[in-house]
Amino acid sequence: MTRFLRSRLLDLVIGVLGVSTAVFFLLRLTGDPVALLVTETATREEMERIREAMGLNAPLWEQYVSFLARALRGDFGESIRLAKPAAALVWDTLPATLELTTAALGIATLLALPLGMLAAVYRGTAMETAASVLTLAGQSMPFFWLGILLILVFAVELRWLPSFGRGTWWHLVLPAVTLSASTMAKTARLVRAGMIEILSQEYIRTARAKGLGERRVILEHALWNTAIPVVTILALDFGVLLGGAVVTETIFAWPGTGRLMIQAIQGRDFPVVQAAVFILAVLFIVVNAALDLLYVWLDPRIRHR
Amino acid sequence: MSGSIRASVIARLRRTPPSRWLALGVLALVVLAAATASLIAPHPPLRQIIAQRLQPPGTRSAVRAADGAVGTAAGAASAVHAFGTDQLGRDILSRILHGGRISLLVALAAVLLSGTMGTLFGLVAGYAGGLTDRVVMRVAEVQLAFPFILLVVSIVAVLGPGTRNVVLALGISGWVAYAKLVRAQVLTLRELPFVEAARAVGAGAGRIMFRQILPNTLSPVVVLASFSVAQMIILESALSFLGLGVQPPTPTWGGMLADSRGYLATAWWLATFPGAVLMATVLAINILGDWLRDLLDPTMRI
Repeated sequence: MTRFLRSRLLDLVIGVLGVSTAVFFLLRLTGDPVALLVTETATREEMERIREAMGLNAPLWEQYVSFLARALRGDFGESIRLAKPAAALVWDTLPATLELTTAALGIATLLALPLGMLAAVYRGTAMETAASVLTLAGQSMPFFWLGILLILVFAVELRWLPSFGRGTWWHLVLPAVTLSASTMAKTARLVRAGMIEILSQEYIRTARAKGLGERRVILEHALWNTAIPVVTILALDFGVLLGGAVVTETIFAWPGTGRLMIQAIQGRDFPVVQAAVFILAVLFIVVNAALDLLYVWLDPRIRHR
Repeated sequence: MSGSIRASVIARLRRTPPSRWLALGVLALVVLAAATASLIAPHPPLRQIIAQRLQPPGTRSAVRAADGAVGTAAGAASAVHAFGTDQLGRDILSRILHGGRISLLVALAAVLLSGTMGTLFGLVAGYAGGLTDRVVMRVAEVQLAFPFILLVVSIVAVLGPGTRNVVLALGISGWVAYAKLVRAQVLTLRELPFVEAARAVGAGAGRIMFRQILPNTLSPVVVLASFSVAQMIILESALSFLGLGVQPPTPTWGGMLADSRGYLATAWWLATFPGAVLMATVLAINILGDWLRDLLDPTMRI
């Protein structure tokens, strides 16, 4: 168990280092950072002074080390457009993004479990066809188009739900449903496949043979054993959702980190882009590491590998 | 092909569900329409007629067809705006046809780039093993630490928007899946007797990798590639939607959807038609991907 934990921890550290390296070069590849800071009338001497002040004349590896040191302390410099620390802007918007992704993850799970189970249990019936059509559609639906359609129907035509901004629970519905579609489809497919495989196992036959009701066989014996692949895909999809949030937040004017990042890219505000990419990627790494521990709890066999 | 194989192939094709034939038809139609867009588009995709902005589907066009076209099918088609016009009075159908070109070409180029990169890295890492393997897989792990869209958006942020940069960003972001897939197979294949035999008769590493091992890894790569064409089409549209992809005035499906957002309350057709074509294309490719997987590698789990 300690070996397992230690190797996971090492992965975590290497992951964070890798991400910071990538983010460092992200800035250095975009050209001269000073040119972004000064007005067009700046003289060569002024630019040189800023360059010296920012430490841009030091050797690259020195800059890299100092960047790393600052990044690990959460310091990414000032935003170029808004006079605020870049990291603070990201931290301010992160709760909104987490609210959106968590809601989407919840919706996806709540819909995918029954959908996948029904498709597996009622194999070869209209129920399975309906479920598979729904999942295929969910998988092929470009989510930003789904978002627009939901706005058209529920905000513009029916006027049931607000189409932009954040505030009440009602504001959360359309963006979260939009974001959940592809994860829901993928998870439902997986639940179905896992269920079908498990229902043909011997211990299920044993459970039935000892006279357990079908409901208990499925809910207690089969469902629990589909948990690992389902948790895996949901964990991986947390990253997909974080990425998807970038687009979804833009559609619904949701004040999260994704929208902040797109605005920063459009305004060439690179400290903010760096901070957003770094914090989202590290968040994803940490969530994955936490999930590795969850597996151990779900399936004690992993501990002994 | 011997008679019995032919018979079994025919029997298999007969059992193919009609949805797959339909998907094949849809995709063929989309590809054909995109390829011939400049011939069949009823209007020039960039022509603006401000007097005819935001006209609903079926509106008669203010611009008369060229004299030579009057009375022909093309002349009849250009007499109306079948899918309506956008906020600048441009014909939506024509823009969808031209936009299909960009979507398909960008997606294919990106898949080709990521597939080639990933296959090469996976092949070398798996065959060489040791330090090479560890370095390649570590880079892959770090890349996987970035949520996919986030990675694509970051690369575009560095490179700047534009068609070539979108292809590069999508291509670079996508190689890991291929590398992992190919590497896993190479690890098994390289221990098999036929590789041993090749080595025994004096074949070099390059020859063994490319002539003996590579051909045996290609089926799952082709299946993965077919699914990622669909994914790349969605991503290209997402980038254009965010304004980070192919730049206006070049028509793209994602760009058209982005434009539509300002007019949802007044002009539903701006969003509906490009999105429907986008979804139909992606759906068709996904269904065909399933088919391809069943044919080439039924054990694969994608």
